[in-house]
Amino acid sequence: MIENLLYFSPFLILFAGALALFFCHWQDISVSWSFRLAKIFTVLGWGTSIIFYNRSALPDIMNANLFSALFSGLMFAAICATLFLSRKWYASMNMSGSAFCCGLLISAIGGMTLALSEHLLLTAAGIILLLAANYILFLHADKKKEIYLSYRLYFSLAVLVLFFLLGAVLFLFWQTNNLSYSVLGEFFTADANRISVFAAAIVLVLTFVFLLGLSPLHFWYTETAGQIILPVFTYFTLVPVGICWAAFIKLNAGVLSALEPNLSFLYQGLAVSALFIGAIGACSGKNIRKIFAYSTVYQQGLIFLMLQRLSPDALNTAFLYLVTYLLAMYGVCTCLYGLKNKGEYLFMLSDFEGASFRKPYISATLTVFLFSLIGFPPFLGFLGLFSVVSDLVLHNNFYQLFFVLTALIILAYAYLQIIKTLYFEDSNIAFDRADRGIYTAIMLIVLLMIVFMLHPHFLAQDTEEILESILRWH
Amino acid sequence: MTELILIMMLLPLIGCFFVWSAPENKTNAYNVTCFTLLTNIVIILRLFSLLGADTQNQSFGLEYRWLENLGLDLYFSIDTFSLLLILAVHCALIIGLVGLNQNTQKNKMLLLLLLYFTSNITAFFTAGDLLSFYAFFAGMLLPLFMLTGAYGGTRKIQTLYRFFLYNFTGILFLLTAVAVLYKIYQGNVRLEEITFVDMSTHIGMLVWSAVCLAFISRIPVWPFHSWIASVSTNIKNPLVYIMINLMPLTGLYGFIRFWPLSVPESISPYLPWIEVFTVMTMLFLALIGMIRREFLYKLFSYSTVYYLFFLLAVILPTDTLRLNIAYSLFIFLIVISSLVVLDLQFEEKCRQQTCSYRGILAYTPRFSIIISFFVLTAVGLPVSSLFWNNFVLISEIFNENFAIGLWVMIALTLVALGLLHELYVMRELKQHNEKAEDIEDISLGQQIFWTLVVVILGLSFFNPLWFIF
Repeated sequence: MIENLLYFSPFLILFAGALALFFCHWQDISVSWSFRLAKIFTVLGWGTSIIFYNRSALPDIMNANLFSALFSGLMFAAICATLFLSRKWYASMNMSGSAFCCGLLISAIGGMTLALSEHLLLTAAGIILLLAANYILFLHADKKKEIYLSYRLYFSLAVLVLFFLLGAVLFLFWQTNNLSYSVLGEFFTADANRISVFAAAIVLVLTFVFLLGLSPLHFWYTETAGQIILPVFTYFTLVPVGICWAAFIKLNAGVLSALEPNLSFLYQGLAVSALFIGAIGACSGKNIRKIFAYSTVYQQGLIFLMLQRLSPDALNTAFLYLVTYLLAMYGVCTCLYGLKNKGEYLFMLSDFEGASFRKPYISATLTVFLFSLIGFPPFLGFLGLFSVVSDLVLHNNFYQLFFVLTALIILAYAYLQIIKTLYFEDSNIAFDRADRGIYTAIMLIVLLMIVFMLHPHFLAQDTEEILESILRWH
Repeated sequence: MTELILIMMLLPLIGCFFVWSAPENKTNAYNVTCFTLLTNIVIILRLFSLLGADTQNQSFGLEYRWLENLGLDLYFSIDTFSLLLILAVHCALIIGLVGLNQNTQKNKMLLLLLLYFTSNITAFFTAGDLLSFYAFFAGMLLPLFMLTGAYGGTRKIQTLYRFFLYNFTGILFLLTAVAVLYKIYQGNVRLEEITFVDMSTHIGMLVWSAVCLAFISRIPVWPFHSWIASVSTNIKNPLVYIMINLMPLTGLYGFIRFWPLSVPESISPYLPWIEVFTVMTMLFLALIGMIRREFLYKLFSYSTVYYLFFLLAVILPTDTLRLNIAYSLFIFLIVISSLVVLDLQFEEKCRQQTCSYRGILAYTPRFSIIISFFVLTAVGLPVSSLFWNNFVLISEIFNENFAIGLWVMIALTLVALGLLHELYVMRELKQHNEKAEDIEDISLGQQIFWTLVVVILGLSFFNPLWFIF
């Protein structure tokens, strides 16, 4: 009993933290306290999840292994980074941020559940928790009219997705009487050709498409990204991404592997549409966060394209690309925190005109991160892009390669607009003095990128075994 | 030897940190940059002496295990050919630095990007494998892109987009080729082994076309010429002009490394088309150079026509000309950089005095001697090794295809005439130019510097590798 309780401790710690922060929300505590609490509970939750990385309280429905630990680690790192950056925003706005922290911890519980889940009902619970966390963050974000509309749109779409998801879960339960991945995997293998079974699979896939903000269900993310507050934008861009991919990989490896030939067409279509919608959408934006939101759709589309085949090399490539993208995006978010005018965080592209003259270091690093995002050597993104291109060539997917590179050129045009605004436009906009923590964070990311670039085996070699284990397990 | 190669690549990067941390006092950053480049030249000369003058085919290299599981070992090596180009680039950049005579031009960002570019292009010329070749081929775009945006003139934004999109598309072509070769070879290919990679006709066609397009995107062959024309003619900073002007060199070098012996069979049927397009572009640019009045445009036309001439020499089915091309390029880069610097310096002086460029040589005797020497060297008079080596290259082109050789000769004559005409215009004095009297001639320090450059060029006439002891 005590043993099981210990294995369950990451969840309990995160839950306690969320509860404490929920109460703090009503007590109007200071920003430093709410963020301190959130950091303590997050680090404790992360620590215990590392200690019990291969122990599970419910081994039948929750499988703890290195794979789940790897992705949980990615999520916790993103949460810590978000907490570190967001604190500055809340401090400057003189808000406690406890609701935000509470939302982050709830999403961590949801994420952990998704990473460990080997049971469809548990996966659905994890998804519900993530959606709830998103909802709290949306509610808390702002009461602007545009946001309000977007969040209502998100809410109704989330309810619709949940409705379909629960329908699919009920259907599968009715068919199998057991929702564990192994049983469902056998069921999908046996009845792969039935339309109802295929429809249930599509519902499961589309749920993740919605969660990840991939096209055609991307608009809740891209439309709100421009208006929501910076901490929530950072959260949506960094936190749920890795863990959702982990759950998606597990679902595909454990349940939907028999449908791979049929689903791969759907995946290709969704991925290619995400590539082009992301790239074209980024070009048409005048709001810098919206540009990055669309570029995120492109990057996610690329990962999706990699995961159309569940082979070890595809998994490695997708993971490598994911990490390089997350690092660069974290860098971008940090730079956005460093550029503000009279206490206001800027978001329109025109607000950044001539930023390089007043904020040369932040502008220079932002440029580096942008070049990294389009896979420009010698930056870390090159490693990700090269592995994607060589993977596509290796499997003779030349048409897909053509789409990827064409969309990349379009996306490069969008980034070019940002660089042009930063460097080659004259303006008298004054920028506030950036916090020392921002510079420290930027230096840290750059250092990390240099280390990974010089020793890429940390990303591409040492994780190989862990990623492949998920395929062997199933 | 291997340590020296590494130091040669990394020294400019270390210089970057010093420039970055230098105070806004502009001479500090400038001095650091000059010191870094001069130190690198000393290292290059030391490498030359280690290679030896008689061992032109000998090469040295260092290996770095980058990503073992993917078979990505990086390899850097040097031989006389690549080292000569590195030296030429360094000399050209030093000349460009001397051209920054005003403090406003000695911008910290410019110097930072210059050093980054130097490190990148040095690594590019030492790259011995496909992946590092690609990485540095693409990597040098970043500083040039930033500099084009900062110094691009009135239509810089349009120029900037064109510059980036042409070159970015080019590097994506190369990336595709690299990935295909990586797949076939099951690992990172050494550059000298590329021609021996066994490919089907279909794949060979795909790979070599992509490679060809990637390199041609850097060399101003029609229809890829427009970006370089719009970039070059708008830039008024000599150093930036020289750096942008080095872009076609990287494309040429790519052809030499990828097709050392002959054009691959799968695309050889299309070779005549490349030759025809190249010759047409040469004639077209030479004629435009004749018509346009600005000396800078004439220089652009001259350098482009010569790059295209070198391209025709590179795709000849022989590798015996490789060193001749390198000797020619070495002198060519020094001459063109010197002419650009001198022209922009005196153009600026004329602009400040609001006087005409016409007849300026009558009032500036020292400038007159120096620029006359460079123009005469550029047109191919026997004062440097450019004369001998161009003679060899042209005769080989004639030998291969008489018609092409004839058109090449016409284009070279036209650009030479353009430069000589400009010299005549600068010399001609129809009436007394009062304001030109106030124009300051080149200083004593600069005179010593230019005399040194003249001596270097003159010595090359007797032995192109005279500096190896």
